[in-house]
Amino acid sequence: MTSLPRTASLLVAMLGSLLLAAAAVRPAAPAPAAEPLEFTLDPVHCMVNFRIHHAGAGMFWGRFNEVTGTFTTSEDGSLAPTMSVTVDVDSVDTGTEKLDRTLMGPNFFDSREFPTITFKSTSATPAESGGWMITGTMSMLGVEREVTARVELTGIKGNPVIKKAGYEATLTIKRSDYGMDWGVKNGALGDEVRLIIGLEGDWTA
Amino acid sequence: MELSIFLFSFLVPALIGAGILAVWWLVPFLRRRPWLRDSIIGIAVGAGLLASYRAENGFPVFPPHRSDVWLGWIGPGMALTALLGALSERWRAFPWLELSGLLFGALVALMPVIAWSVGSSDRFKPLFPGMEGVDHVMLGVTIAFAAILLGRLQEVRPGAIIPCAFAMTFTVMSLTALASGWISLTLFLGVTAALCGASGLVCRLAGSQSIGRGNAFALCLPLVVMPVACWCKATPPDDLHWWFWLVLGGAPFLLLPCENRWFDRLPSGGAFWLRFILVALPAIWVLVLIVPMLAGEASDELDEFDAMMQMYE
Repeated sequence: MTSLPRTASLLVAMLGSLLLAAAAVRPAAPAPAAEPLEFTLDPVHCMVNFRIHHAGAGMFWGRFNEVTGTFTTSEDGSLAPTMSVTVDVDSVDTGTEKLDRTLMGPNFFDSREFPTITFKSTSATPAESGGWMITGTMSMLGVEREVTARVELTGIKGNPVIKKAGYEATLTIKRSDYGMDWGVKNGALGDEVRLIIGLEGDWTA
Repeated sequence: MELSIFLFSFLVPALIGAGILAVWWLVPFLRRRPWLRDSIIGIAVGAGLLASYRAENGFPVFPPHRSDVWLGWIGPGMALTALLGALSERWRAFPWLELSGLLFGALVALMPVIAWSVGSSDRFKPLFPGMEGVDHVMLGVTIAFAAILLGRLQEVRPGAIIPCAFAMTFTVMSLTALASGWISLTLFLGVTAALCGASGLVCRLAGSQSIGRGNAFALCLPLVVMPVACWCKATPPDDLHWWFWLVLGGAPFLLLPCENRWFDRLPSGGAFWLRFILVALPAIWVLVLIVPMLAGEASDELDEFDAMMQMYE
């Protein structure tokens, strides 16, 4: 009679140790996913540079100085970024006021009718050579086209309260796709425009 | 400017228009048609403008997807206006001219409504950006008044002076568009000016013939619509004021006060040149004001400082 409780005690002890062992080998809970942080673009440190073939000869450069919007990334930059960027057409700057006015005019960016150029990302895939290939919709002169930009994280710095992050994006578009075809046929200006975009954003907790 | 742009957007269109004028002048059968005589300037300038627009942007579409496409319709609009105006020439008594002018102005002002009702877009677009309802009414009223005044003027003032006055005005308007940074409009106004000059030559050859109501109405279309387009769409320098366009657009109407006994007593050659100078004076005034802008000269303090430094060095 006395052996039964002892056996039961043994069994309970064995079961207990088995449960403890099972608990020990249970897979660990997944690490928390990288949290996306939304950065607001700092207009002072953002710019959109463009490069175009002029008169079949040299490469002409210009830039837009007023760039606003947001992008998201994780603290370590591993998360696929999303971007929403708006460019103020009137901020076009070629270093020559007369040429700026021509570019703002109806032959080119038509700023009075279409004051902004926008880009909104829709997807991002890792690029083979590092960075990301971001696909999104670019709207210019009232025309929307899907474009893909190669985007590279240039750095993230800061502390738990304030952070700064930067991206550099490059892409090539055909301006005639957006109806900006002045000078294309007669070779006064090239059709392909290379865009090199520098973005810097601020995040605050 | 590229040679090909000058060639295809200015020279060839101007030659097309001049060719139409020449054919009309050289073929007696055509020259004897009164309705064609009263509409030939509108047809020639209209064809030249359409050719220039075609070279710059392709054929215009309707309804326009962008407001500058309206400029492509000025050419066909001028030809149609000239023909309709010529056909209404027989009704000279009051109020037929006035009613025609008002109808013409109303039709132009209502163009965005017509385009909106024809098109698939659910968003109403003004004729040019920033224009509101009152601006469209003012545009229509201006065109109507211009057409009525010019319609009356051409009845009493035959000969080359009216096309020559318009040639002068459109030339300076073309340079004002260039100062505003709109290359295409510069070329369109340049073609219009060249063909008005050619029309003046044809009128001179034709003797003391009136240009006719159709041509008078047709010329009002670019005279009013192109400056409005440039003011609404281009980004002119701060020194280029709205009244530059007003002075230029109003210059040909200085021919109206010249219809008096004093001018009638002058020899015809002297009266022609006096009238032309009177129209040219405000145009030259505007030209003097825009020349520094064409040269790209700014009037900021930095430039003055640079000039001082150069003198010092």
